Parts: sequence; structure tokens; C-alpha cells
Amino acid sequence: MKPLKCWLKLSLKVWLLMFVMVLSVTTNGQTILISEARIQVAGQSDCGVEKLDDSNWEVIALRKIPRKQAFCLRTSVVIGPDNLSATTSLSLSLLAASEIYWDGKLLGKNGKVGIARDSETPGNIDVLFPIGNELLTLGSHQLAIRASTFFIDDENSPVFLGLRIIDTDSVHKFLMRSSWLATFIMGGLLVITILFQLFFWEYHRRAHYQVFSLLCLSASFLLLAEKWRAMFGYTYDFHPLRMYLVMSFTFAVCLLLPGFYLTYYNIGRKVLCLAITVFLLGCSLLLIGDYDNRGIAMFLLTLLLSLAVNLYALRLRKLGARLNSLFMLCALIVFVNSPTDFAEDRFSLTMFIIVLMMLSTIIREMKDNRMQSLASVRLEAELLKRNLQPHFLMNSLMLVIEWIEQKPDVAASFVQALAEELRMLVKFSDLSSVTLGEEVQLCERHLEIMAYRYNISCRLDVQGDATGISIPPAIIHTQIENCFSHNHVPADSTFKLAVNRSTKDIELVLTTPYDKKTKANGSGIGERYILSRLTEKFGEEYTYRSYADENRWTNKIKFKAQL
Amino acid sequence: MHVLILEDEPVIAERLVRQISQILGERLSKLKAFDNLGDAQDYIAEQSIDLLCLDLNIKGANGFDMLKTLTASSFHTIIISAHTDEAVRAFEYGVLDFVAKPFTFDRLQKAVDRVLDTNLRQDYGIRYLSVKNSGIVKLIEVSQIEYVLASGHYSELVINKEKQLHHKSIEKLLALLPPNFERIHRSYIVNMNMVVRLVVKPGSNYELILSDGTELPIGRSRFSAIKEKLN
Repeated sequence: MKPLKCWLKLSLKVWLLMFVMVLSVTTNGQTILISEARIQVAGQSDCGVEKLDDSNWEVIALRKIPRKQAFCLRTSVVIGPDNLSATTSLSLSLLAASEIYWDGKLLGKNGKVGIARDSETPGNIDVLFPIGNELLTLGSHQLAIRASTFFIDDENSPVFLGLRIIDTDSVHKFLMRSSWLATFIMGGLLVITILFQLFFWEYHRRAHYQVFSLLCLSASFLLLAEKWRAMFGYTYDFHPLRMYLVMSFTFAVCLLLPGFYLTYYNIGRKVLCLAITVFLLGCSLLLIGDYDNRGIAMFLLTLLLSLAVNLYALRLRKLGARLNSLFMLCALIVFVNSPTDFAEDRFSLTMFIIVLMMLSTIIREMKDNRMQSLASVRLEAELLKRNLQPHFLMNSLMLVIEWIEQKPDVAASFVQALAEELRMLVKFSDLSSVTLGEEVQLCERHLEIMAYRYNISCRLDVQGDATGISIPPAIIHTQIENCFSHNHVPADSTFKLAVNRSTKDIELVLTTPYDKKTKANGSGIGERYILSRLTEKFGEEYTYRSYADENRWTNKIKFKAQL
Repeated sequence: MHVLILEDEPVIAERLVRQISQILGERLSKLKAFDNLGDAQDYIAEQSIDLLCLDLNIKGANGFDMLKTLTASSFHTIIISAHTDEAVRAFEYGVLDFVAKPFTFDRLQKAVDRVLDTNLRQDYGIRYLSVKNSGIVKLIEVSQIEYVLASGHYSELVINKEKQLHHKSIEKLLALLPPNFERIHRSYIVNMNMVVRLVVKPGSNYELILSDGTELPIGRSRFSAIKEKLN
């Protein structure tokens, strides 16, 4: 457990470090935000003229800029001493083709402004116009934007995304750092996608590996779609397509996250839970118009549902549920703190930590599997060793010598029975399970040998339907062997094996003769073998009881009926 | 000779009965076989036996606990067992011989001969002697014993001048004790590692002086052999 704890601590540290980096990636310098302007709809060719009388124009909040229109926006901007930088620019994020005028002078053009769709050439969604030292003076300036938005076909897209006077250097730095981090996370998620595909196809076909791989892929694509605008840019007519992709990947991610936990803990009624998730996410998509709010609603839903699944798993005492619940709670707090930023970076980082947790889980699984296969080899060896132990083997050879001298025909029959039992044991030692029928045959061979050895009559009476039952090898045999090794078996003895079936469970009840005069029944080694074998085959889904009453020893094994 | 066999495999017990009868012939006064410890212990309590042939893996019994009690008794014990890995430990507890299963007639005969020949010494040596005192069995480390004193049919083990009664005769103990124990007198066996010197007393009497100052007489017939050993 120690290395695992270190691993988790390390992953938490990495997460925190990256989280701090994300928080630190913010612009600095003095930024002037412009959020309202005077507007006149129609393609004003004199929009940029400095002395234009716009006093009777309507003042609107920029977020209410009309769609499928040509218009002119005019506002005044006051430049303070903090904004007098050589690299001061005007940053415009507008779904439009535009021309920008500063004190009547053209700063730049973005696309071609038209008076109808066919005369417009769409501009880039984000543009940056350097203002220049000669234009940047202290005091009030006239800013005019002539624009047309005829390529906005989507009713849900806001037209205006931002208008700022900024320091270009700090914006470039911001974009660089943000892009670097996003590329790093995207690459990481893609590698993990491939890694978990390999785990699924080459190591173990577990559903949660596949779901997790898809989740990483979706998260990576979501990040790419989110960052495409800042990293590569595009003309604004592609914005609805990008938003459609962002929504699709958000939907996929929000469905796959609780889906992953459902498959990871193997919780029942997965289809119902997933159907509820799809329904709730669908409602968010249909009922909420704004893209940002849709994203927020979907992330809130997925975090709440994932937390619910983890808490339910915690109730079922599933491994890792406590840590995952705690982590989901942290993610939820981070989300509530800043819902709009969550989709961009923080979700990716949340994914990153889930990846680290998953990797540590897989490493632990691999380690357990290795230990299990070693244990399995040990059990095989133990089965053979127990039957080659001196008490059994040397005493049997002693009997052979005695009978060769005294009763050669008995010697021959005994050697036959002994050979048959050893042959079966060698065959059994290679298997992890055998049919109950085969096990009964082995027990009968053993009883035959014991009848010779102790000069008694003994038999195995099987009651109930023994067909179609698979059990670990030599566990009933070990119980019978224990009975002979630690107990005096009367001259005429019947060993009873009752097979009790219900719809869910199978119970095997072996009753053996018990002589209270002999002190001990049940050897530690034999019982350890039985328990190890049962655990290997049934995990924790079995019960084993062994107890004595008046003159019988009862061994009960109960396990789930295999389908 | 009165022999008891404790063996829970009937066929092997039959073989032992047959072969021991054959080996001892007329020297066998009584032979009894049991397949469980309880009956055997009852028998030992009531009867005086000379030899016990014991299987260490008797059902429901701890072989070495059993051995500790039995070797404190007056009779010799021969182990007949499939577990050869337990032989060294069995010898340390004071058994006369260890016959591994499967055994031949000749091997069994050799073991019984050790009982019959009192001059035959073990060359491996025991580490412990178990003594029974008021029903409690305790193990005494052989290397701590200074000397053994004959006491009728029994013996007394002397350690730091304290005496512990042992139920075996001095002859039977000599057969078990390691080679550094020498019979110096009809009534004395001494641990030669404890001897400091040999002194001649007036009247041609010889004595051994032990490290704690104890003086022990040496039998006339044994003097030259002891002197040679000391040199």
C-alpha cells in the first residue's frame, strides 16, 4: 500500500501545481473593457468620421448587437496613463466583418463589411489592431466600428464576445501559456486514450477501461474545440460549427464520466442510470438557449451524478470509493467557485487527476494479479506436495512392501488405486477449477486407498444433482483427507456429500465421521488450501464453515450458482 | 523383553508385530500393539515395558509432546516414522533409534539389536533428557549434566550439585548419552567435559575431580581406559 499512497500524494501534488498554473494564466496590464455604444443600423459609410453627430443614436449594451445586419457602433474611450504602452492594441471579438476607426482614422479591416450576405466577407472572430503611438494620447478618443453580421445563422450564438483596449504583450504571453498548457493536457489525454485501448485489447477486456479511454478522447477533443479559437482562430461563420462541436464533446464527456464510475464499480442498473443521465443532459441542451449556460448545466449535472455514483459505491464499500468521492467533491467546489472557466481548463485538470488515480488503480490491479498468479502456482505446488508428503507416500510404500511379501495380489490392486489417484491429482494441479463429478471421482479413489490402508470399508454417498457445478480442484478431497489424517475413522464409514441448490446459490455439505477421542480435526494447512482455492475462484462471494457435532464433522461450502 | 508398538496403520502394525517376534524370538516376553495414544499411555502406566516402537504421526497427537513424556520413562524408544526430517530432533529428545518408513527386516533388526547390546553407544548424542517430576515433564540439557549416579533401577542426573531422578537405568542412559559421557564406575557416568584432573588416593584408589570440586570414584577395571582418555 505504501508506494500507492506515495503515488496518490504525488498525483495530487501535480494536480495542485497545474491548477495553480491555470489560475496564474491571466492577463495583466490595464485593460479597458467596453460594453456599450451608440448604434445605428444600416451600412453607414461615414461611420468612422470623427465629427459625426451620433447624439440621437440609440445606446445599446454590446451583447445586444443585432444579427444579420449592417450597423455602426460609436463610443468614446478614455485613455489613462496606464494605457500608454507601445504595444497597446484594440482587441475585438465579434461575430462580424468589421472596420475599426480611431479618432476618424482607419485602424484596420477584418473581412469585408457588406450591406447583405452576398456583399459581406466574414471576418475573423478575434482580431487585434495595434493603436500606434501617434494615435494613443491621454484623454478621450472616438472609437467607431462599422460592421455587418449576415453570416450568423445560429440563433443561440451571442454576436458580441468582447471589446477591449489591451496590452498586446501580456495578451500574447497569456495565449502562449494557455496554449502550451492545453496542448500538454490534450497530448496527455490522447496518450492515455491509446494506453487504455491497449489495456482493453491486450491486457484485460474490462468495460471501464474502454469507457475511460473514450472519456479521455472526448475530453481531449473538447479541449481542442475549446482552444481552437484562441490557438488557431477562424472566420466567424465557423463559430456555430465550433460551438456545435464543443456542445457535442461536452455532452459526451458529461455522459461518460458518470458512465465510467458506473462501470468501474460495476454498479447494477447501469442502463437505467445512463438513460437518466442522457435525459438530464438532453434537457440541459434543449431547455437552455445560451451555450455557456448549457455547458455549465451539463458539467454541474455530471459532477453531481458522478459524486452520487461514488457515494453509492462508498455505501457498497467498493474499493477506492472514498478517495473518488472526496475528489469529486473537490471538483464540485472548484466548479462552483468558477463555473464558466470549468469547461476550458479545470475540467481537463480534473480529468488529469482521474487519469492518475486510474493508473494507480491499474498498477495495483496488475500487482494483485501477479501476486494471484504466484499464489495460484503455490496452490498447485501445495496440492501435489500434500499428496507426496511422507506420511501418505512413505506409509503407502511401506504397505506395498508388506503386501508384496505377504499378499502380492493386494499389493497390485493398491498400487493401481494409488497410481490412479496420483494421475488425477497431477491433472488437477494444472487446473483452476474442475467439475463436481471429477472431484467426486478423485474422492472415491482416495477412499479406496484409505480402505486398503486402514483395512476398513468406506464410501462416498452423493445426494442431489451434482451436474453442471464447477469448483476449485481437490477441495472436497482435502476435507476427506483431513478426516483421515487427524481423526480415527470407524471400520464401516459413509462420507456424505449433499448438493443443495437454490436459484442463486449452491451449497456443498460434506459430513465425515468424527471420533471425539482424537483431539484435533481440521489441519491448518488443509483448511488454508481450501480457503485459498475458494478465494481464488469465487473472490469474496462464498462462505465456508467447518464444525463438529456428536459424531459427525460437517463442512459447508456455499457459493453463487454459475450461469 | 516386553515390547509395546504404537502405530495407527493396522497393516504396518501387523508387520511390526510379526518381525519383532521373529527378531526377539524367545527373548520376547510380551508384545502389545495399540493404534491410539490414550490406550498406549494407559498400558504404560500399568505395565513395565522395555521397548516402545513408536510412530510419531499418531492421529490427534503431537509427536514431540508425546516423545517428551515417553523418553522420560524407564524404557527405550525406537521411532518408526515416514518423516525422516524429524529424525535429528527425535534423537535430541533421547530416542535410541529412528527407523524410516518404508523399512526392511534388517533395518528393524539393527534397531532392536541396539536395545539388546548395552555396550553399543550412540555416536550422534542426544541434546535433552526429559525428566518426570510429580507428573511434570521437563527437558534437561545434556551438556549441563555433570555426572549420572545409579539409584536402584533408576538414575540421578546431577547438575550444579542438584539431583534429578530419571526413570531409566544407568545402562540405558549410557546407551543414549553422547560420547563425552564415560562410565567411570559401576554407579557413575561422568561428563568428561567437566573433569579437571585425576587424583590417586591412598590405597590405590583413584578419583576424578570435577570443575566444581566434586570427587568421583573410578572403578579399578576402568582406570586405565579413563586415564588414556584424559591424556
